[in-house]
Amino acid sequence: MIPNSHSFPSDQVFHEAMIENSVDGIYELAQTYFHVNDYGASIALCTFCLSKIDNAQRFEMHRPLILLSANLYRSGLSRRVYLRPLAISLIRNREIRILVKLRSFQDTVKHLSILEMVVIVSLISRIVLLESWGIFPKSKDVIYQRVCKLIYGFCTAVSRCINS
Amino acid sequence: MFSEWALKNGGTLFPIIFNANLIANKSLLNPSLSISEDGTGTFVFRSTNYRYLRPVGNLSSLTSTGSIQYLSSQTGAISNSFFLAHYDFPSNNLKTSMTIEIDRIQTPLLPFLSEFDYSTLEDLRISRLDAKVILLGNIATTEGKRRPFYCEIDSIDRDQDQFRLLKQQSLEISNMNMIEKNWLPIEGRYGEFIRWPMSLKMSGDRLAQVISIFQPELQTEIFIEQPNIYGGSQFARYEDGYISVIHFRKNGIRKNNHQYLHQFFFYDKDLNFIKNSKPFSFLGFDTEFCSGISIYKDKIYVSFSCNDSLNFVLSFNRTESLWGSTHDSK
Repeated sequence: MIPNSHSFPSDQVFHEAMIENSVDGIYELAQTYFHVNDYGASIALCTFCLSKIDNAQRFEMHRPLILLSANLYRSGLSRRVYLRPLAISLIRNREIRILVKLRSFQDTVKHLSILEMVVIVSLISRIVLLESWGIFPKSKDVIYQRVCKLIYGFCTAVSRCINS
Repeated sequence: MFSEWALKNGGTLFPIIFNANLIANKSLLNPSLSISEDGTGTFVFRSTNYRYLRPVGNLSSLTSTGSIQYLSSQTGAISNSFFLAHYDFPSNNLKTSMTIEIDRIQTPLLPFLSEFDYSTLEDLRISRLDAKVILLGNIATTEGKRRPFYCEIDSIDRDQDQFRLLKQQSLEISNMNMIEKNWLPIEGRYGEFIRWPMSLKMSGDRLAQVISIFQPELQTEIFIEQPNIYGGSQFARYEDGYISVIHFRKNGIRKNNHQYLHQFFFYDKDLNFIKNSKPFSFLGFDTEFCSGISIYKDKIYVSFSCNDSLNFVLSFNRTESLWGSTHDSK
């Protein structure tokens, strides 16, 4: 739904989504905000939704949020804020795999399963998280730039896949 | 969460979505709502030049406290104006019928701005006095001081699609803490405002008379329990007195990481505190700012924003259980 005017969405899904932690409902609302370029609201909803998800087995529920996060990133938003909480949620109870050897994001993402996407984002953001905790040594600025490029490449690839 | 309780008591939760043209290069937040007896709903929003990005819920204890992203070329300084919107509640077709943005710089009604180094307007609350709409907030100066800001708007002209400004003025105060920012109007009462923990009476353009709104024995009890009360909604008529939402901050795990909790307060017609609800969170966000409450027919409407990004209107039935209910604050 893309409103032509300022509106209260009347669909019941919006009323209940926030209360029942309905990922689909919140995602739909986040997507609506995204379409009207209200990225702050969209991010707030994404992180709100992720904060409610504790079950590591429900990875499939993250799919729309990952895709939306990729779009948000492409919209020029702060990389440090929205992806980090996303990843913190995802990496809980997960074994981090070494997937940083990816060279061609565009080709790779097309063949990734949702679980693999999750793992990649987890890995990348775990590095960012470590950086935020000050665990990285003096070279953290260099590493951080590298991580940012990694995130950007991944999100760009996901975004292209969405649009293709 | 209080929203869950509200929905079980005949309530609805409406996110407010603006179209892309309106939201471009600004954020609209902290809605203050007032509904007239004929169902005319008027909002005032804080319009800012930044976007606040912040993790929420159980993530906030692990991550940063958020950051500000400026939306215009001017960075490093928060700039606010205010934005009025009108909704027609009886039609249940909740579309904006008109909007107007008041340009505080161009208006000739603000001569006092030349008196000091002007910085920005801050959170306005809306109320009604007969047919007029009243706005009350404050002006923050670059010196770090604040002065109350008072505005009267004539009845809404639907044909001309605009509001008509009657008066804008700052109010002089003496012997008062000049950094307080939460100034609250009282529905239907001219020249009387609440500034926690006191109310003030306006005489001309001066706030002169200072009275306590609390009965002494209750005042002590309340402020020992919640010493950080410093804001909330305006005062709206309710039953034979007034109702408002107050908020206070509960310290979080990390430094500078607070959670805003809220309570409904009820006062008699003389503004004596009578009773309050349990503390609650609306939706579980750390930063929730409720600056609007209004009564329409058999329902209570509150307007609030989360993380300076999401605006909601929550309604629920008038019920005595509001005061005795226990709302999970998590």
